[in-house]
Order: sequence, then C-alpha cells, then structure tokens
Amino acid sequence: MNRAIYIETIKKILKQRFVVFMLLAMGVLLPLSLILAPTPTVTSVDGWDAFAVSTIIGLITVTATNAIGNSLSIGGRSDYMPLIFTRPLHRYQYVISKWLALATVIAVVSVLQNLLFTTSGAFTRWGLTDEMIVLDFFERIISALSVSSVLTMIYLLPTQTMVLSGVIAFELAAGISILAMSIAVPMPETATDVSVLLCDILGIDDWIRTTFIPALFGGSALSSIQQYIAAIINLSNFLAPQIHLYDILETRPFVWSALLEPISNILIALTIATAVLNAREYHYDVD
Amino acid sequence: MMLTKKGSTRGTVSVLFLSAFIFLGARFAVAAIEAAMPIKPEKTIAWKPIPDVLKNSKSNLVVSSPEGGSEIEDKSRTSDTDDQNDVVGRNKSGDAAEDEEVGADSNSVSLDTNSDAKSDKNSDSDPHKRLNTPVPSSKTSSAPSKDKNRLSASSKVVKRFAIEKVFTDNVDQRPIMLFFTDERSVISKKMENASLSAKDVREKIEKDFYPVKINYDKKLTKTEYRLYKEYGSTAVPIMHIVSSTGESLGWTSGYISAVKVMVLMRNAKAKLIAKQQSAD
Repeated sequence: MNRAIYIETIKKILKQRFVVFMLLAMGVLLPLSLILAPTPTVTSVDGWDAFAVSTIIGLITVTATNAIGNSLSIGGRSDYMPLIFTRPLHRYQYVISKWLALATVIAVVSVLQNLLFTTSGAFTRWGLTDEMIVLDFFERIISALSVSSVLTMIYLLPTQTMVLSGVIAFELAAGISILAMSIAVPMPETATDVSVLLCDILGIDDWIRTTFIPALFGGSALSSIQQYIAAIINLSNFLAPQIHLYDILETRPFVWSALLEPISNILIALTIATAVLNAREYHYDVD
Repeated sequence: MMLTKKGSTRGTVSVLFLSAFIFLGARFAVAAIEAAMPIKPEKTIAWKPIPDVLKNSKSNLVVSSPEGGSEIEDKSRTSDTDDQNDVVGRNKSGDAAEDEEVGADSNSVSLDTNSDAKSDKNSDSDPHKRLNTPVPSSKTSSAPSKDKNRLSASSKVVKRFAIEKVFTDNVDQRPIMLFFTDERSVISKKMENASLSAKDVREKIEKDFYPVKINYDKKLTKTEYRLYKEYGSTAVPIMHIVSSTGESLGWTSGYISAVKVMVLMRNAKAKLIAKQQSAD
C-alpha cells in the first residue's frame, strides 16, 4: 500500500461537503431515527444491514468524488493518473491504496452506526443477542472490504461505458442480493391431476412436454430453472457479496464456504483491478 | 506521443490471481463437503406436522368473526352459513355453552357450503375428525330466529380460516410460524440451514412459536394448500407469523439472516401482546 495515495484519497473524499453530509446522515441521523422508533420493521432493518449500508455509502462516495479513478467523468482520460504512474509506484499499490481508503471510509461510518445502536441499547431492545451484536461489528468491516473491492474493480475499468455497465450490474446484483428469493408454484394434490387431465383431453400434453417446454428452456427445463436462479445468485454474490457472520458461525455443522466467499471475491476483484490497470496505457500528452 | 508503463507489475497480478484461485477452489471444495454433510436432527427446527384435516371434506374451515368488518358477509352462502352467522350473534351475547361448542376464541367455526359434511354431524369427539364435520352441530344449525334478527343489525362479519382447528395440539396457543419453502431452491435451503439453524434462533422458535413448514417441492395436501392460499405466496422462502387464531403478526419474503428472524419474532410477539392488551 502507498500511504500517500491512501491519505490523499481519504482527504479527497472528505473535501466534498455533499459526501460528508451523506456520511453523517448514514452514520448518525439514520441510526437516531431508528433508535427513536418504537419497533423497527424487518424492512427497516435493512437500514442497518451491513451490506446495504456499505453499498449505499460506497456508491455515494465513489460516484460523487471519483475517489478511485476518474474514468467515469472524462471517458478514460485522466489528468492526474498518468502523473501518478510516472512515479516509482507499482500499480497494485495504487489499487490496494484506493481499495483500503474506500473501505476505511465505509467501515468508519458503518461501525459508527453500529456503535450508536449498541450504546443506545436499541439492539438489545430489538431482541439481538450479545453474540449477534459483537459479530455485527466484524460483519461490517468485512462487508466494507468486500464492497469497496468490487467498486475499486468497477471504477478502474478502462472506458466510461464499461464503468457504467459495471455500476448498473453492481446495482442489479445488490438488488438481487437484498431481495433474494425464488419463484416456486406449489401444486395441490388434486389440481395437478386435473391439469394433466385437461392437457390430455386437449391432446396437447405430449406436445407441451416434448416440444414446447424444451424449446423454451432446454431439455431438462423444469429441473434447470432452479439452477439458473442459483447461477444468477452466485454471480450476484460476487458483485454484491453479503455476509452474515452470526449465521456462519452458529449454524449446523458449519458453513465456512460462506466465510471463504468474501475472501475469494475480494482477491478476484483486486486481481482484475490490478490486471486492468496494468494493461491500461496512460499518456499525458495532448492529442 | 509518449507512453508510459512504469510500475506495471505482472508478477503481482500472478500472485493475486494464484491466491484468488486457491481461495476460490477451497471455497467450492468446502461447499461440496458441506452439501454432503448430514444434518443432525437436533440441529434443525422440530417442525410440527400438518394434519390434513380437509382431506375427506370438500369444505373449507371458516370462522365468522364479529370483529373487523373489512370483509362483507357473502350473501350467496347457503343456509348453513346463515346459521353460522347466527352463532356469531350468540357468541357476542356471551353464551358460554355456545362458546364451548364452537371454538376457543369466542368465534364460531363452520364449514362452508358443505353438503357432505352434514351427514357427519354426530362424529366422535376426536378434534381432527370433528374438523371434517360441520362444527355447527344441532345447536348451531337450528339457530333461533330472535338471534337472527339481532344479528341483522351487525350483519357485517369477517370470515377467516380457522387455523386453530388445524393445529389442535397447539394447546398453549403459541403464535404459529409458517415457513413456506422449496427444497429445490438454494435460497430457501440456505435460509433453513443457516438463519433458522442458529442455536439462539432455533431455541427461540421452538420455545415461543409453533413452527410449521410447508414444502413446495411436493404436492401439497388440501390443508397445506389452504394454508398456502391464506398465508403463502410463490416467492419463497416466506416466513409468516400468525396468532393461534390466524391473525397476521408479521411476515417476510426472501432470504433473511438470523438477526432479521429475531427482529421479526420479537415484533410479532410485541404485536400479539399489544392485541391481547387492547382486547382486555
């Protein structure tokens, strides 16, 4: 890590008044509003969900300050990045410094929020156990590191179009990750028989099974739908990684794969970010 | 034009890539091991069985409640239904004998438009068998006309599913936690194995709630399908907490963590207490 880049990035973020206001709103005002509420609904719990908080803070910060790079604003051309890379600096140092700077900002706000909930006794009032409260602090730090690694990767992509596509993909993944659900239509004992009978009477039963459904979804369509959903969720988990530390540590017999997931995701994101930065050509002339 | 590639570190990328590859491989290997690990029964919630009380009946369990009024009485009901409305009137007047006959919560219980069930009026005292029979027995089906007149003043009654007649072994009237899931769905399985298996959550559910699971990956029985129609949806997993008499106390759809399950349960309990206090 390069300390100068790390400190300058944090300073750059804190120079923006709008961003500072938003950080204060997320870190102080939002928790106060929830603390003063009699009982939070499960939906409002998302207001202090580690992943949701990290995502909102990360997006606001990076978009408003261009803290990672500035390809979004000037289409891949930068005023200061060529100068930085003429210095004796490894490009991975730039990536790591930016990642940690963003993670620091997110983690500080997120942990501050958690601290307010804990000290005010709100968490206890809402039924959380001591273990849940303690693990929530670590969860927020891991979440901050995960989200900032993905945002670092996205914002270091070479062209404006790629960055915008990455941001949209990240937002979609965050939506899928937060609203994780699957569609399943239950069949009653009798209704299935009736529907099959109806298809038989109409003479389309065989056609539906052998032609229509395979044409739409492939050969093993009915069993594959859940696999498609699983693939989408796994992709979403990479771009928008959620981690529930209490669930991981308390569940039967163990689900350590969920713990390895953010670590591998962070490494993949940083690898891609460094590889992209290595491949990019910076020129500080005038066309 | 001058180009610079200073600081390009291919070696570092290789190291990062190798680390990512190792962790990714380890993650998938551990996930495969986890999937193959047997689940100890004591580490999962002891879900309560759902007796198929509607199996041999064409009717639905319906309760007419004098409270609320959002749902208007269905005028197309048969005379059985009219009779059950009469029972509502008698319950309101505090007839203890009628209360004992029709149910636990001073509501009347009846079966809608059930011609088959009429023949089973005098079934034995087994609660499940009683459910297959029209609860309006000789008393309810021969409602006095004076009560009918009184009822007409408040003819708007709410009809609801008599869930308490399904879970008759919920004797201490714990709130019922309905968990609609699909074993084929990774999200549902994750929630069941992670959020709901956590020790604190599991213990709280088993202590304070009456947990019921409805699995979509098999054909649902009539009763399960009725519960799905009342409280479920096609977006799984769904956790719906209702009172022992079927009033919704809170629900959520989609994966939620153990922390959110705790909040949901706490809110449901608080809502139930508030309802009980306001009723008192």
